[in-house]
Amino acid sequence: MITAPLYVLLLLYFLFLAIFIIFSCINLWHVYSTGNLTFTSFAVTVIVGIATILVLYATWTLLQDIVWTERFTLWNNDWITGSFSPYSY
Amino acid sequence: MSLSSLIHIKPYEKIIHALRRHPLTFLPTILLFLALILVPIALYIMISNMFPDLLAGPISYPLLVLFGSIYCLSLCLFFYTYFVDFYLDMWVITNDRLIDIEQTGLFARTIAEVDLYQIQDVTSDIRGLFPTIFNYGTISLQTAGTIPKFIFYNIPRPHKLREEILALASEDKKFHTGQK
Repeated sequence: MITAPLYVLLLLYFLFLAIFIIFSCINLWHVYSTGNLTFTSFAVTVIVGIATILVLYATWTLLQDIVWTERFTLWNNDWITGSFSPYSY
Repeated sequence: MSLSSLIHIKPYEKIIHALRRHPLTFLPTILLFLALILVPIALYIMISNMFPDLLAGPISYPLLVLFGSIYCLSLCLFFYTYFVDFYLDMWVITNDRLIDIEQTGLFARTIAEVDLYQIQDVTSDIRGLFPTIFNYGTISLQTAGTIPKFIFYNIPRPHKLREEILALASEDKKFHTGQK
C-alpha cells in the first residue's frame, strides 16, 4: 500500500499557483508592451484580479480546519487482488 | 509603452485609426465563461444531494475544494488570456500604410503591413442580424504588394471606413506619383 500525506496535494496546488502567476504576468506584460493600457484593459484586469482574490480567499476559508498531516492512499494492492477473488453472496 | 513603439511610426506618419474587433464579438466568450462558472455550483448541488459523505470526508473534502479552486482559477486565467488575444488583434491605419497586428495565443504575434498606394480594391461587407443591427463587418483589401489580401474582421462601421481608406489611398497615390 502506498500512502502520502495530505500536504502533498497542497504542494501541488502551490505549484499550480506558481504557473498561474507566471501566465498572468505574461498576459499583463503583453497588454503593457503593446501599448494597450486603456480603460477597457484596465477594467478587465481589475475584474479578473478581484475574481482571483475571491477564489483564493474562499479556498483559504474552506481549508482552514484541515489536518494536512493525515495520510491518504495512493495505491492499494487489494484493489487488484480483490477484483479477482470469487464473489461471496 | 505606446502603440507607436510597437509599429515604429515614421517621423512624417500619423495614426488615423487604431481599430479592434467590435466589442459585441467578445460576448460569446463571456457567455461561455459564465456558463463554465456554473459547472462547479451544479456539481456541488449534485454531490451534496447524491453523495453527501464526500463533503464530510477528511480526504475527499480538501481534495474537492482544491480541485474546485484550481478549476475557478483556470477559468480566470483562460478568460484573461482570451481577452488579451482578442484585444491585441489590431488594425492600424496611418496616412502612409495599413498595419495588421494579429496576436495568436500568448506566444505568437504576426505584424503585416501594406503601403496605402498599393491598395487596388476595397470591399466592405456586413452580413447577418447582429452585424446589421450593430453596424460591424469585414473589410477586404486587394493590394499590389507581397500580401495580396488584407482582411479586417468584425470592424465597427466598415462602409464608412472603406470610404476613408479609399480617400487615404488616393492621397498617398498622389504623393507617390508626385515623387516620381
